[in-house]
Amino acid sequence: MASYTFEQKDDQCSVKLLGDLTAGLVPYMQVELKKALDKGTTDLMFDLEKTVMLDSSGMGLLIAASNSMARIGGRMRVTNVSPDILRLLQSMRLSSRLNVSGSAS
Amino acid sequence: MTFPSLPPTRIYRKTINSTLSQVELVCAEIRALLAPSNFESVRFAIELLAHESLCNAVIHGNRQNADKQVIVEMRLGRAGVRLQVTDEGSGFHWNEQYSLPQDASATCGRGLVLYTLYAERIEFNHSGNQITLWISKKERH
Repeated sequence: MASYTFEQKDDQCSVKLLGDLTAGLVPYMQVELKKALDKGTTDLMFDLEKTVMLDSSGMGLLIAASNSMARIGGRMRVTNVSPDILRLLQSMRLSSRLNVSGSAS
Repeated sequence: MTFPSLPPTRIYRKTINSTLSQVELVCAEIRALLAPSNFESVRFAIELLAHESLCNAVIHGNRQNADKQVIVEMRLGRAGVRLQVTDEGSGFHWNEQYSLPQDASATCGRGLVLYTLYAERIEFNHSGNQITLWISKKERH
C-alpha cells in the first residue's frame, strides 16, 4: 500500500498523499516518517491535495509528526486541504497546531 | 427527530472480518454508493462516521482478531442516513469519553468526539458493542 510519496532534500521532507489518510494507511506512513526524521528532517510538509478523507487515526499521525518536529525545533505544515477537512480540523481545534492551509481552488 | 422512522430508500448491509483492509473496502463501497445520490451535503460526514465506527469496531471492539466479525448496515432515507455498526467485543463505557483530550498533543482519543460533531443522534446498545448514528441531510457544518 503506497498511497503517498516522500521527497527528501537536505533537511526538508515533502509528503504527498495520493489518497485518503485513514487508519489503513497510518502504520505504513509511521515507518516512513520515522526514516525521514532519522535523516534529520526539520522542515516537514504534508500535501493533502488528493485527500478526500481524514479520520481520527490520520489526525493522530499528523499530531505525532507535529510533536516530533516541535521537540527538535523544526516546523511542519499541512497544505492543500479540502474545505471539508479544513472544517474538520478547525472543529477539532487542530488547524493552528498543525499549521493547516486550504486548497487554492 | 422524525427521520429515523421513515422507510429507507436503499439499504447497504455487509459483514466483514476485523481487518483494516476490510474497513477500507467497505468505505470505498459506501463512497461509490453515495456518489450518484443526492447526499452531497453530508457525504463527507457519512464517510467519516463510517470510517470511525468501523475502525473502532475492528481495533477496539474486536482487537483486530480477523476471526471476529463486524456487521455494518446503512439505510439511506429521504431525510438522512442511519448507520449501524456491531462488533463482537465486550463494549466500553461510551458515556465517559465524549470530550476532546485535555492534552492537545495527544495522538488519540478524538474518535468519539467526531460522532458528536457530525451525527444528529447517537445511540449505543447497553453493552456498548453496537453503535447507531443518524446523519441528517440538513447540513451541520
